[in-house]
Amino acid sequence: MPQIKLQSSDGESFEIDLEVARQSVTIKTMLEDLGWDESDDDPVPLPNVNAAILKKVVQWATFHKDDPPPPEDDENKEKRTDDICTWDAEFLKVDQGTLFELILAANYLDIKGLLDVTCKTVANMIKGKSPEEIRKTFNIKNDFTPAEEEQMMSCNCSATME
Amino acid sequence: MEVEVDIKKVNINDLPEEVLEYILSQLSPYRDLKCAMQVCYKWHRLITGVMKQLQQNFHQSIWESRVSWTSILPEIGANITERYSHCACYFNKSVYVFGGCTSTNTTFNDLWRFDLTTREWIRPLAMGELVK
Repeated sequence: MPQIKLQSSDGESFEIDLEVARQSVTIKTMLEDLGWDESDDDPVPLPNVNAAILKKVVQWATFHKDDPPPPEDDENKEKRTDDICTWDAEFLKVDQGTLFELILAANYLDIKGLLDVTCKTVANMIKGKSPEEIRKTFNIKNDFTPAEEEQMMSCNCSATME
Repeated sequence: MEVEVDIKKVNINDLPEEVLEYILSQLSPYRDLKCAMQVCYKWHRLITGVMKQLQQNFHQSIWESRVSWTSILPEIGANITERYSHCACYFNKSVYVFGGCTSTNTTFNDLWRFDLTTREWIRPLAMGELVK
């Protein structure tokens, strides 16, 4: 199995299977554009991903390397967020900062499967919460004026009512 | 020499807007979206867009007859029995079903509420006089 070297933003090199790396559309396109072949020994620089996060991404991609390609998004299909597999759920038991960095990395590297599952995890953290609980969870500042807030409340949010 | 180490963690609002919008579009339109809208200006703006898109897709689907029924079975909790000729209405993010009969001519007088957010059947106690 051909190997490829990836280099994180902080200079650490990771040698991984080419097939694993090609789950990233960004890397795949880069290699095609560069006309990369197996004799190439130069590491592929990934200036937006640090070593800690790249390690996690590689771990995820290695586990999922034999997955069928993710289906095209169907705009009209109702979204589900309760279909996260147990391995992923366990893998994503990380602090919020890491979770968001994984999202940024998955977005930059264009790994749809990883982006999907991380975004679903965040969506699940929002579900069933009142606006104030959401702000607390994610440390978001309420930038509405009291008058605006009151106006919105009158349009009724029933999260706390049930 | 002092080295400032930037340990500021990535906040949810540091995510690119298209990613945050994607996350918000995964929320149930019946309740969670409305709540998330009240979090801050940015979320309000993004969710207004998500809702508009949902509505457009829905109308487009109806227009092109691309709608289909799917059967969803609740994993836990009570479940309504099969019936026909019942009354049903939508109120405040729930579908209410009352009465109906079965093929063996049993008639029902029970009331059920289907919570569209949690997708659960709940049997509320109905009290009071029948409206004549």
